[in-house]
Amino acid sequence: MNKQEIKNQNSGLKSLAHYEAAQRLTFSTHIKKVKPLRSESYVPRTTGLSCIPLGKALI
Amino acid sequence: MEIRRHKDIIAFRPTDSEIDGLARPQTNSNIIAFHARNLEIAEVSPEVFKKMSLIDLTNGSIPAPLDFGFRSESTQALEAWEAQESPEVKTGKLNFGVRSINLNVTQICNLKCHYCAAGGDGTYGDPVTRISIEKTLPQLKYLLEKVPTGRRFHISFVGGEPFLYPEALRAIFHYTQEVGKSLGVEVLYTVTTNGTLFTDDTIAMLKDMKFNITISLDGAPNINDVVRPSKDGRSSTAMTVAGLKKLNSIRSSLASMGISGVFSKENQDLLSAYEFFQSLEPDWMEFNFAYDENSPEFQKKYLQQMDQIAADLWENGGEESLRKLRTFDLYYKLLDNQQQVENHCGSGKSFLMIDARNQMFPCVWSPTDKSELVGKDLNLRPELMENLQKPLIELNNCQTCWARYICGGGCMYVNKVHGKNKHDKNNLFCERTRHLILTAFTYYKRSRELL
Repeated sequence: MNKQEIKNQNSGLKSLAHYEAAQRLTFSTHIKKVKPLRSESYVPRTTGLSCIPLGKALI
Repeated sequence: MEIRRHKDIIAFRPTDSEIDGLARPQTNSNIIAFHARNLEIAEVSPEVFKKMSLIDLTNGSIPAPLDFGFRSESTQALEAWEAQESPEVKTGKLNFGVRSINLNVTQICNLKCHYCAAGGDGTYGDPVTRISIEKTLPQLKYLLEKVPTGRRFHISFVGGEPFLYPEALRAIFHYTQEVGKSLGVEVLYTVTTNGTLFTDDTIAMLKDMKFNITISLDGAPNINDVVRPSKDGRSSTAMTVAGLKKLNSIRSSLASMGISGVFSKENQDLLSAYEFFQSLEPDWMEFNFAYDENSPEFQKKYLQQMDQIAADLWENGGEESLRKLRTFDLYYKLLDNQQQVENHCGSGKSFLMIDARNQMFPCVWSPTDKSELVGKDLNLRPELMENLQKPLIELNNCQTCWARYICGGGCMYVNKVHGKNKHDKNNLFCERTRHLILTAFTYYKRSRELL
């Protein structure tokens, strides 16, 4: 690879990085995600939402 | 409320009245979005919102996308988010393996509730005064032995009224604690009761058991006494309140105490019920829509009142208080853990209903339908539940619904009561569930920080 090729490749990488950064910026301008709070482990529901007393059995 | 959808992303802008009483929004945009596969909540710009197709809550199908034409920044952002597959998402797949049972220790009751699906009087059409302890203990051991070491097993005592036979609760508790310990399985307990029969003896018994207690109550006394009458004409509410007083003396020994009510066209007043429930200081509450109710007018009132209850809880105690509503607490857990639900309940997979004759069924409501029998005593026949092994969202054809991984496919019993069969979705149920999920999203967004 000669100097020119290395220069081209670097510039390509640079523009890719720029593109990705621009993408992230675009994303964050339009979409701001909410940060979940990982506190409790999920407890699967084993009976359904009920209509009469069920005692929701959780495991 | 304006709701829009692009493939697996929905977004909505709560109207002013819907955010009355809520904390002020953290940013300029009030538009809340949800990624259905990733279970992510976000705030999106008005430009993104405009790129999505209008939908309403009656329909779970994917609308035709709008013609974006020029791919603007907002379009690119929307498409990029939609295409993301979050590595944090946990699957809701459920393999066969019984981890939870409901056990009818009696099939008789001292009340005669108007809407009782257990045969109209707690008997399922087959009054059994007492379950046989001699048959039940080996049956429980048989089920516990199938649970992998280190896992949990949940026993929920129901009836009839379980406290008509408290000796059964005591015997089963001590036996399963012992067997569970030897197998390395933690056994947890819930009892669902009308709360009218607590005595000093049963209270002393419960003190050592760390039970979750569910009290069935359908509103303030003037309503509850009508829909939940006692057989001898006394006020069942007064009896329940007296029972709760006794229960409160050992409150710290209980795992939890919650109140569960059922509402329908005949019992429409959720707000006065809420006020009454709050005065009894439960750890949680649920306001269930009666399984056989099919009035769209009542559903509208029900949802309006649920929103008002949620707003009041939020205003008076924020997230902690709001999560006293059991359904909302579940939705928060799912979002916080990005946990998909593929089965609305464990029917046919992780759950069994055992009646007072030790017969096993896949659903709490099955004992009135003997064609659903899947085993008896020490003979469970999983092959009879073969047709329930696929995820419920697939069996009930919910694949396109944006709420599928929160709802888990809906209730097969409700489907059966209102439709052609157990997989025939009930539109009222779907619409109601979607509405409550959106309300929960509104508060969730306000409870968490933006990334």
